[in-house]
Amino acid sequence: MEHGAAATACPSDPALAPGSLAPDFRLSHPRNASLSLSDLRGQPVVLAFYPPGWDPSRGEQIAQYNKILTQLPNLHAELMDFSVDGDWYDLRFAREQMRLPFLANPSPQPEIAQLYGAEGREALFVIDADGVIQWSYRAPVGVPPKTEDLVEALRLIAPQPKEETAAPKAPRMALTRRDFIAATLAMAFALTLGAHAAQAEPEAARMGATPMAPAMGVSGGDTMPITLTVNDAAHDLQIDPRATVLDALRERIGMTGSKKGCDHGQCGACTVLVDGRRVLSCLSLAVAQQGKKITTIEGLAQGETLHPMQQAFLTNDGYQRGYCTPGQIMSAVGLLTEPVGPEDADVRENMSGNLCRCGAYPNIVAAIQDVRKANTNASV
Amino acid sequence: MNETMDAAVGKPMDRVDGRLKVTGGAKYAAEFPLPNLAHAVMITSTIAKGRVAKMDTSAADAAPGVIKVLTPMNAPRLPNDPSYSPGGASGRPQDRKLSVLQNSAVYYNNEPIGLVIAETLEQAMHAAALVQVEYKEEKPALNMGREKKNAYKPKAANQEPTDTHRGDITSGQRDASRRVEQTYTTPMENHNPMEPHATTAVWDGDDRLTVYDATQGVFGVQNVLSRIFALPKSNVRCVSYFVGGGFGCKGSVWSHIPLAAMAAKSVGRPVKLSLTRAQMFGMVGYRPQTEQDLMVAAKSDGAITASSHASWSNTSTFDEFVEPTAAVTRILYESPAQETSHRLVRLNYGTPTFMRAPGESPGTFAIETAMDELAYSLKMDPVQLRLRNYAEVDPESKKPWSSKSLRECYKVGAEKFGWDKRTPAPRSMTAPDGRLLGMGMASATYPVRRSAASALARLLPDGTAYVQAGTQDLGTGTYTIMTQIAADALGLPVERVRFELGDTEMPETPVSGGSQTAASTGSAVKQAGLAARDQAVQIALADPSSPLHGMSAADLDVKNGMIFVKAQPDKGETYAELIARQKLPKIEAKIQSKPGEEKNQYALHSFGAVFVEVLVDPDLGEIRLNRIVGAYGAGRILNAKTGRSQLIGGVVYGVGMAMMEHTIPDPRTGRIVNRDLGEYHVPVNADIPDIDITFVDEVDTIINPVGAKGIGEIGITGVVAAIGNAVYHATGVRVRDLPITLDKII
Amino acid sequence: MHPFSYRQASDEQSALSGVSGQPGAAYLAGGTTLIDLMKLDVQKPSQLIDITPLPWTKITELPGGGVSIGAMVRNSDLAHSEIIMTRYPVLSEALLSGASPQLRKMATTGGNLLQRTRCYYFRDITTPCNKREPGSGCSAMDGYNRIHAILGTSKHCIATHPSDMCVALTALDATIVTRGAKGERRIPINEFYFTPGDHPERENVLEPGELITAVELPAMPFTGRSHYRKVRDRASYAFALSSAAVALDIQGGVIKDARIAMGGVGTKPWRALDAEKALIGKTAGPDAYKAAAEAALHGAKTHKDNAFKVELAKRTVIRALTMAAQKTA
Ligand SMILES: Cc1cc2nc3c(=O)[nH]c(=O)nc-3n(C[C@H](O)[C@H](O)[C@H](O)COP(=O)(O)OP(=O)(O)OC[C@H]3O[C@@H](n4cnc5c(N)ncnc54)[C@H](O)[C@@H]3O)c2cc1C
Ligand code: SF4
Ligand code: FES
Repeated sequence: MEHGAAATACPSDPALAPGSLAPDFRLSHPRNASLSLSDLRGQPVVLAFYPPGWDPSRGEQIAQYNKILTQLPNLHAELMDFSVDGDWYDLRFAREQMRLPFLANPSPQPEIAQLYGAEGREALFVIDADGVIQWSYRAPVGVPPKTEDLVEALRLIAPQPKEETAAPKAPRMALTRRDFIAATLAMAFALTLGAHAAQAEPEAARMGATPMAPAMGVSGGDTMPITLTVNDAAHDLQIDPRATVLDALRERIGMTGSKKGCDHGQCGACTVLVDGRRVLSCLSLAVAQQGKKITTIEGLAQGETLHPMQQAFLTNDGYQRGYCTPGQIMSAVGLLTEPVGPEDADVRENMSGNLCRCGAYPNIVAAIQDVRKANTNASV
Repeated sequence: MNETMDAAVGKPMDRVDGRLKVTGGAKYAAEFPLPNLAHAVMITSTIAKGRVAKMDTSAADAAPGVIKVLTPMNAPRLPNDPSYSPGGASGRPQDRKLSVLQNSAVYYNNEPIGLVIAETLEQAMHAAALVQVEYKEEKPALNMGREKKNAYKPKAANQEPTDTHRGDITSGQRDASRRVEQTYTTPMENHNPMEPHATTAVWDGDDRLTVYDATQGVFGVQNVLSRIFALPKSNVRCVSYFVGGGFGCKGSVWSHIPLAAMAAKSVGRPVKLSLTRAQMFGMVGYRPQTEQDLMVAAKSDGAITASSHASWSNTSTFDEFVEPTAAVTRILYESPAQETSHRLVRLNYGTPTFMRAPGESPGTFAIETAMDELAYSLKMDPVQLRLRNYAEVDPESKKPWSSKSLRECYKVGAEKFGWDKRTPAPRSMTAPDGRLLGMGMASATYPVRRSAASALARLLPDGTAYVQAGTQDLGTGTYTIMTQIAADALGLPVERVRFELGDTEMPETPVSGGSQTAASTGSAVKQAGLAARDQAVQIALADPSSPLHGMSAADLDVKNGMIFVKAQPDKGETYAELIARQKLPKIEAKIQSKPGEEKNQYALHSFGAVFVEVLVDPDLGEIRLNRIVGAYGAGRILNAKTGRSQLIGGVVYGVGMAMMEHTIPDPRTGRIVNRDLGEYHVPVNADIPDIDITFVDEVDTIINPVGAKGIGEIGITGVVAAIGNAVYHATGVRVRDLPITLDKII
Repeated sequence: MHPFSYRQASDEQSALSGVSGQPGAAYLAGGTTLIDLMKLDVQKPSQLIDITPLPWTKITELPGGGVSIGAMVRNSDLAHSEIIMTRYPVLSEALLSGASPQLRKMATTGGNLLQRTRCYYFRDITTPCNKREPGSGCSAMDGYNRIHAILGTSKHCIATHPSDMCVALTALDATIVTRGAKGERRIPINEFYFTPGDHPERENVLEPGELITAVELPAMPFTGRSHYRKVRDRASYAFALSSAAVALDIQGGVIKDARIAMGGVGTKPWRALDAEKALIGKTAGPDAYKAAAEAALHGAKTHKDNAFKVELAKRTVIRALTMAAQKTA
């Protein structure tokens, strides 16, 4: 994961670093509707990229971004309503109306994601009214940015607050919001919001909420500065020594792929690799991992290509509820480099540190054996 | 044109949510990133009965990062206090009496008595440990044997009659040549889904509440929260896209859910409350302990002449839940004379609840072990004995079965297993390595349930569709099978259908429990899909620009998103073309689907037969499963892959119940001593052998529009007895008290 | 978890000085015991000295034929080391029967020696426990005690020592090498642990701040013929109800020497010296093993829920001896 502000946006591509002009592109539609990014000049734009493929919680996330915007004074970016008119979406924001080409067709425009180095990942670009990237964020799917960071970035593009007056309560978007989200979900990316900062008038936060508190550190208690290397990205954290790797991943960094089933080393749901060895992150202190390489479930896939073990779990239905799954997969990946005999019974014994309450064990064994057999065949 | 082509249903399609699950992208209730989130940690009681006399929160209040400490003394009073919910015999998940800091009474150990809200999880946990509690303690009732004299008769046994009586038991017994009379006991068990219960609560202003909750029923949560906080239902939203296991314990609304909402309200911030594993032993339900007296009498040819099943289980001192163990005995075999009953014993533990196949799991253990004992007593093959007493109609109601393939299940199961190689005498078979080999079998059964459910299907201008029902996917494959059902109903390939669930803003569906989702929500999804398709067809027929204009619907079919003339498949148009020409934003149908008369006219059940081979170390008593074969008649299997997984999962759950699961309260304090996954043993990978699942073909046109009977629970039934019967065959030791651990057989 | 400060030791000296005069300080190795107990508030150190950077990660052959195992060697690495697998199979087997693959990758040799009991009440700070809080009483005595000890108990504590590794080390006559304020100490494992007696809170002879640096295994020609047998409630990932580590020196069918230690039944890793004596000079076979098992369990004292352990432990010993005898030395 890369943080715009903290750890330069897209080190691989200086053209995407904060301060550079956002690459232009055209959203095209089979039937001629189209819109360029440059058409939106004069208003801040937040670009959100998601890999193709479906994720029910994405709607919540977009709603969350939307809500953050509503709570930021002076941005007036709240999506109030939406309707479809032929090939266009009509989006009504608190202050204005805009049209977007209808992109419900899940024919992604991969070249745009490519342009932004966002293929197979989640990415967020905050672009100011001049079309300049102010902040960016890219991470494997399922790892949203810390809201505090996003809020900070959005503050940068919001005009200075003037006098505040009480705002009326905004209507809840109820189903219309869902429709919008549902229709845009399957896209390779979603252009979720835009607003005329220029038209901003003094008005306080919306939806009856108080303005966002500033980004919050851990108050009280002694914390330590550490750098955690997770999936090859460095995370600078100011952390309570009591925090385990698991809680640091889930609650601080926002990587919730590693699961907490017991918090006491008794279930294996929190398994990650540290320097290639499978260990339990719930019994490992975050402060003790400096200089070590942590690999989590989010770090296995290469872009859109799943790790063979992930693919094997999918094909063999090696899960049901899916909560133990990341731990099972990390454990299985760790197992591949260990001295484990060839039989099913060997796999069973060596996967016994990962409980599965759905009883997917036979399918898990089958998945692992598939990968092991493929590996032996490949090396012969 | 109302029949669908089954292009997708039944196929072993990979899960549509599989990719998210294997990449860590699936977001569970505690994983929604919310700005300004605070962490709550619960404080629980350490006595089983009495009241909280004093809570000293000064150290906690002063601890770094603490925002608020809530206790029975200072917690906000709720508009409708759920300590006084209806509760009672109905066992309705939304009626539970809850402990949400409205008074200081303590009814069980590990009951919520406080809440600490802090900036970070570490701070909240630490502060919770700093709170000093003083109690006024009373003597709790903890022992079922001791309290059995105060047992009472509940009004109902979880939707079934409490007691039944048919025929003349005395004369039935007189006609018999053999009689088995035994008591079978099962301990408390905890569901222990891998995902701990968690609720994230967010208020918009002071009258709109959103909760992200690990629940089997989003609408139940909405109902209860709107009642407790006196809000219109439409102001409460519950979201649950992924649930990391429930098995029944996430079917009810328990105390932590309103507590999270209360906490969020009182600090004016979003609050996340996850239970620790230890806190899951008490306040979120469990399977109650049971004591079951069985009597089965039969003639020398095996014909049962009389049977009885008297069952006791525990409930809490303040609410009621009945484990309906005897219900299965009423329908499993012919028995001209029979008595069954359920009694409850009040103990100072939390309220028990539905746990995978409530009633049937412990019930089949008892009756199917008794049947094995009867078979030995009659010197008869256990399968033969069951066939001899095969119930051609429901022996209790005398209604015909909507379908029943149990005979086929015995046959297929026995053949695949090699039952004919079994020599009946205990200890008569050994494995090459010298271990004792045992083979046992039992019948499995579970009723088919269905409730009213709604769904919405929407065809979009681009030729895709999305379909919604506010149901839940507990890993049962709901996302996937509903996508398959909807695709077939709409005449679209699965890739072009997206199914959404887990949100109270979607059409209302029932709780995901009792194996009813496929039947209830599946029927609704199918009917909504068909209705949307029919609408599209009607629009085309009426549109003069359509190539289909003026034709009759009966002549048309839809496949691959194309409406076409059956006799002339290249004549037609696609949904996308139709919608574009019509300049419609969508074509949409929302319907409600309800069970009809079938329940009154037929008896609705799934059946199966399960065969188990165990190897037992003759000295050390270690029991290892060698293989399990199960054959089931469960109606339509909507996805061969996830269906098989479901059955395997049920069987594995049964392995746990048979061989290790046992919630152990301290005899003095009622505090569960093994409140963790280290000492509450569930099966690990090494415990599980090859499991061979067969679904026998079963076409049931009566039961519901999708023809599915539900497969979430039948897997756990029968297998427990089958394991016990195999252990008896191997060792000659009959264990009638679960779990069957090695100390009971050495 | 109570707040603490955290520091990494860079070398032995910085580790020792980190804890000396710091009553609240504790060493952190794999953390699988310590962090677990800190989460339960059973242990509340105010300072953690992380000793994982210390270089005691090697398994080396000693001049006299023995083996030295660094205190930081992880359980999985030790189990899979060639020299241990061939010369001391009982140790490898014991390690691999313990915990889970992930835990074994974390757990260290030193930490394993010092792991704490799994007694339910010890792990629950809301209940009385003499080991955790001297003088508060023993909840297990009249509580639920199926997993508790039958050997070495006192009227103050009946908690089992849970380790598998230590049972094998006990059978192998290991020596624990430590470094403390007074310099190096070499402690035979049989003198390392205390039985609870009147002071269940005192579990071993280590002085505050004393560091374990290594474990040494003596040269023992017959340990190739050794075996560990563990009996538990599920097939894997469970603590022992009973276990036995044995080594046999059999020549011409006669037992010349023997080592027997038991787990899951004792308040410390339980060396069965009487049982060993009962074997020496006897013809290897069921009769001798049975006599040894009887001797091993002599004096066992049971409680309400653990009476089955007496018979189970005997049979475990017999099985382990039988299996060891079948191996070629
Ligand atoms: C769920 C679970 C299941 C388990 N199952 C088993 C099992 O079946 N069999 C089994 O044998 N074990 C089992 N264990 C226990 C496990 O083996 C121990 O926790 C582990 O060996 C402890 O080693 P560690 O390095 O993690 O110790 P730590 O937790 O780091 O330390 C333990 C104690 O030793 C001290 N210490 C550590 N190293 C040194 C040193 N070099 N010098 C001085 N003091 C030191 C620490 O201060 C601490 O007090 C299980 C543990 C868990 C959590
Ligand atoms: S057995 Fe020992 S550890 Fe357990 S409660 Fe008693 S004193 Fe404490
Ligand atoms: S959460 Fe770490 S092992 Fe269970």
